[in-house]
Amino acid sequence: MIRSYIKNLIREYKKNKNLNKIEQVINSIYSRKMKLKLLDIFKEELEKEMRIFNLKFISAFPLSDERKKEIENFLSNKFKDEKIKIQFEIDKKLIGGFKICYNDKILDCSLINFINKIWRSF
Amino acid sequence: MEELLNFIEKLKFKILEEKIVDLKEVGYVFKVQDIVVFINGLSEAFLNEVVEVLDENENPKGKILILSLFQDYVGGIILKGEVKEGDLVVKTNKVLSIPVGENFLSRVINPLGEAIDGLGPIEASDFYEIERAAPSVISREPVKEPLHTGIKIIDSMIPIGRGQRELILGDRQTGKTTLVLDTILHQKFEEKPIYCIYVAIGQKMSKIKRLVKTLKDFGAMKYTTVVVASSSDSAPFWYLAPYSGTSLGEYFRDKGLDALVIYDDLTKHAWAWRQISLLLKRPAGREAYPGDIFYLHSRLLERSAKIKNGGSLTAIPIIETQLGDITSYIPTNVISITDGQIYLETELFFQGFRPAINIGLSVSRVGSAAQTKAIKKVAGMLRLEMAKFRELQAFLQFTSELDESTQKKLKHGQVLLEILKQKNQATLNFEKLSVLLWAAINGYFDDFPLNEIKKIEELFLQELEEKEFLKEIRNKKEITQEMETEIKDFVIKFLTKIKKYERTETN
Repeated sequence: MIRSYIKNLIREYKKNKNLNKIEQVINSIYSRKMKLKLLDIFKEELEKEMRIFNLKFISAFPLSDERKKEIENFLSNKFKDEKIKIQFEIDKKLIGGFKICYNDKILDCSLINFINKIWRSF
Repeated sequence: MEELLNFIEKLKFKILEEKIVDLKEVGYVFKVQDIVVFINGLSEAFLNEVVEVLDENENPKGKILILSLFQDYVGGIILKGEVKEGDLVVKTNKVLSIPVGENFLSRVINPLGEAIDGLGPIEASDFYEIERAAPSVISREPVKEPLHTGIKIIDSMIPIGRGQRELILGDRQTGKTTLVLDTILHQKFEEKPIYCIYVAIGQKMSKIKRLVKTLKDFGAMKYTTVVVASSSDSAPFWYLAPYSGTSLGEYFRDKGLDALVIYDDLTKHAWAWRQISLLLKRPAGREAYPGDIFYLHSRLLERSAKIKNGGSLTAIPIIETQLGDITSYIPTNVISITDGQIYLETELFFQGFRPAINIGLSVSRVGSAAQTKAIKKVAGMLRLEMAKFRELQAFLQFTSELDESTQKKLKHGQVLLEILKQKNQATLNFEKLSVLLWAAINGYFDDFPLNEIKKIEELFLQELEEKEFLKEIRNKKEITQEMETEIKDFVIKFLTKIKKYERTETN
C-alpha cells in the first residue's frame, strides 16, 4: 500500500517537479520512526526508478582493496545498463566463497550452501 | 579402452556442468497474523506455490503456501513450522503437491500426505498436485454403474452411481457420519472393489479414533485412507484436506479403478476458507463468506467424474444445517453443484425412523440410470406406494373411522416404512434387498402387527441366506418372470412356516 502510494508520488513529481507536495506528505506523519522508514522506502523506490542497483557482496573473509576493485569492475561490466552500488560485508557463517544479494535475489556461491545441499540430499 | 576414455570424458563434462552457484529468489516476512503471513520481495512467486522459511543457518524450518499476490508483497498461509517477523523466505518453484499411491490404503494421514498413525513413513508411487483441473467434457462418460451403499432407502429410491456427487445434509446428531461409515463398511461385500477416502475436517480426535477403530474392526481399513484435519489443526489444514483427499482418489481413478471420497464436512471447510480470506483482507460477502466460496466447492466437486473407458471418482460431501434450514448460503450452493441430495431430519430421527432420511426432499438426479434392473423393478413400485401413502398419511389418526380399503392402504404403507428402517452396520446386498422389497410391496407382510415386522424381516433374511435364486439375481442383475415365481414360492413357504410357528407358540 505504502509503496504504491510512493510510486504515485514519484510519478506525480516527474510531471510537475513539485517538491512541496512530498515534503507535506512527510511532515504530515507524526512519528519520527515512521518518517525515517518512509524515507527509506522512498529512497529504495527512487533507486529502482533510476535503475541504481544496490548490491551486497558478502564474503567469509575480509577482501583486499585490489580485490574489491576487481569485483566492482567485473560486476559493473555485467550490469551495463544499470549503475551499481556495492556494499561489502563479512559473514563467517559462509565458511568460504561468497554471496551476492540484489533486490529479491541471492546468488549463493558459499561453501555452507554447498554443504547444506549435500546434507539435504541424504 | 576407447569406451573408458569416452566415459571419463562424459563424467568430467557432467561434473563441470554441475552448478555450484545457486540463484535464490528471496523475500522477508514483514507481518504475521495468526495463520496468515505477508512477505516482502518474492516478486516472481506464483499462485499456490510453496515457499520455504529458513532459519539462521539457512536450513528450512517451515513452509508457506502463497495465496495472494500484490504489487510489492505476497500473502500466504503457514503450512508447517513457526514463522516470525524478519524471517528469510526462499522460492521453491513448486506447486503444492502430495504423495499418492496404493501404500496409502489402511493409513491415517494429514493433508500434506504425512502419516499420523505412528506406523512410520509411507512410500509414495507418485506425486499429485493438490489443485488439479477437472477432467474435460470429452474424457467423461455418463454414470452407468451402481455404487451400492447397503442402505435400503438409498439403494432403492435415491440410488448413487459410480462417478456421481451426492450430498448428505442434515442437522447435528442426525446420523450423517453413520450413514457414510455404513457405506464404507458395505464396500467389503462388493464384487468390484471401490477404494474409499474419508476426509475428516475439523472433527474431534476422539471421534476420528472411534471411526478408525470401527473401520479396523470390520476389516474395512484395507481399502480405506483417512485424511485428518482435526479441530486442533489450523485453518490451512482444514482448507487443504478435501483437495488432498481428492488428489488421492484421482490416483485410483486415473489407474482405471473406482474410488469414493467422503468430505465430512464441507461446512467447516467453508468456515476455514472464510477465516483465511478475511485474514488475507479479501472483501466479505453474504454471511461474511468471500466471493469465491462457490468456486471453492465447485472446483473440488467437479473433479469427481466417471472417465470414458476408465475409472471413476464418486464424491459424497456432507453439509451440516442449522435447525433444518437448507436454504442458507452453503447448503444451497452445494445442492446446486451436486447431482442430488439426501436430507436427514431430526424429527424422523427421534420418531425412531432410522436412517432418518426424508424421502420427499431427497433426490438423485443421475443415479437411476446406474441402478440394477432387479432393484429398478421393485423401486418403481415402491416409490408409487410411498407417494400414495404420503397422501393418506394425514388420516392416520382416524383409522377406525375409515373404510376398509383405505385402512388396508394405510397399513401397507406403514409396513413398508417399517421395512425401510435399518440398524447401524446392518447393510444389505442388492439381491437380498430386491427380494425383501418384492415381498413387502406385494403385501406379503401386511397381515402381521407393526411391532413384529422387524423380527419377521430378520427371520426372512436368515431364511433367504444361500438360496439359489440369489446367486442368479447377482449374476444376471435382474428378476426374470421365472425367478419371480421361484421367489413367490419361497415367500409363501416362509410365511406358512412362520404362521405355524406362531400358532404353536400361542398354544
